[in-house]
Amino acid sequence: MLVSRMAGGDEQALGTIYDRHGATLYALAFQILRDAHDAEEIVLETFNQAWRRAASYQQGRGSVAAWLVVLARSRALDRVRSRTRHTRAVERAVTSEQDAPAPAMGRGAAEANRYAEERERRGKVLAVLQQLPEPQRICIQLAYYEGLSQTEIAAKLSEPLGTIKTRTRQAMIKLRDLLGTMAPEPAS
Amino acid sequence: MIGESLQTLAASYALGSLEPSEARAFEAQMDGNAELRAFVAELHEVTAALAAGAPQASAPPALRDRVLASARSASPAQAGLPRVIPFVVRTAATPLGIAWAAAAAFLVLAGYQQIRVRRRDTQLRQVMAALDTTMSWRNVLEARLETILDTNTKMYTMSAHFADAVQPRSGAQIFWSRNHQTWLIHAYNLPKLPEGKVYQLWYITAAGTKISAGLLHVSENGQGTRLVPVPEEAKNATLAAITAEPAGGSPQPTGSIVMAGSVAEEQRH
Repeated sequence: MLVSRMAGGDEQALGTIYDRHGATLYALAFQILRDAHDAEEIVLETFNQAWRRAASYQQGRGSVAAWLVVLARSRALDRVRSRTRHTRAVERAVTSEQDAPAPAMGRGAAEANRYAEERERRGKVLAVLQQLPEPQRICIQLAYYEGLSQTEIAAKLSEPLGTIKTRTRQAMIKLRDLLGTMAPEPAS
Repeated sequence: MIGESLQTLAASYALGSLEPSEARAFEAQMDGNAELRAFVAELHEVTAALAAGAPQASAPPALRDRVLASARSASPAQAGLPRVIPFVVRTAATPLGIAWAAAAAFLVLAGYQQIRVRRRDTQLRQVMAALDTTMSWRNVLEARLETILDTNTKMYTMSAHFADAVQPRSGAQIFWSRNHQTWLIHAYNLPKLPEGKVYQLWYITAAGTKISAGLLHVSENGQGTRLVPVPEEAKNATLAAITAEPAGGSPQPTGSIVMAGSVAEEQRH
């Protein structure tokens, strides 16, 4: 297992894990922070922490992807929440598929394939999100991709906090059921 | 079966939307609830899958090298490596035997250093894992202390309701922090339950609605302590109760009440 190897100080294992998850984590951090430098720092810190804490990773408590995403999101949210709130573009509409930038020039064939796979996975996730009722989908998008707290979502949508919490719960459970049918990540 | 209120907290927790004190209280609740931990793990998988839904953005190619370099500098294997002072063997001026001996000594030294480094690496990782565990426990204790020391905390007592009154000295205290919206419950002298039974804590509202506050694990000496968040629908609870339920708990109480007490506003101590 890659994480066990990483815990044993195997840098090649770290490189493989980065190749599998680095792009997704960067895209996620960039989406939350909207700043390339900050996104890079988040990815750097996330893998640094994963490297140092690999021995404490417990497979039974979730996949490697979930572990890394929790680490990265937590750091990105801390950073975004420490910024001055009014500078945040909370009025942004949910980013559309067309916003996705083209792959960087000069990519090799392997990287181009990975880009195509990521794009396909993204298409599936967006299709699953579309199956949520709109009010639930908006709650997830604002909480997950924008990093808004539930109180902020309630204020933004002029809805009671309890309503937002209920929608979030319903959406997460439905996503769990829908995403459970998607192909699992490669074994790490 | 996990109640809706806990599911709601779990969803917020997985999304990172809870306030730090709420998150700590929730983590304390997870500690004693395997079903809840499994549910949260499922929701974390959701958050992992959702990451793929972010618009693609190209990470700089150099980032991979920075990640590896950063790991290298943080690696205990490297950090703990003693510097080996380079030396030059002038073969032209040194007898061949001495050169071979020096090379052999270097290899032995290098091998020895590698073993030492690996041993240190293992020890350091064990220390880090132990530190993680200690920090988790510290967070639990800190959250409990916050609840007790909160200026807006009230203490309520629960008394035993055993049919045969075999545990007359049983009791419990509940510290209700209105600021943190948490209950810290400490029960004592609870009798050991038969195999397959567990204690479960309940919020009971004035309307008689019973909401699970989770399981209460009791030690060999009959004590159980637990910090639980008070969900929105339980904020007006007027009673607290403990029942004996089948292993894993019940969505609604099925067993007899073993302990109960009022937590109504006028019961201030």
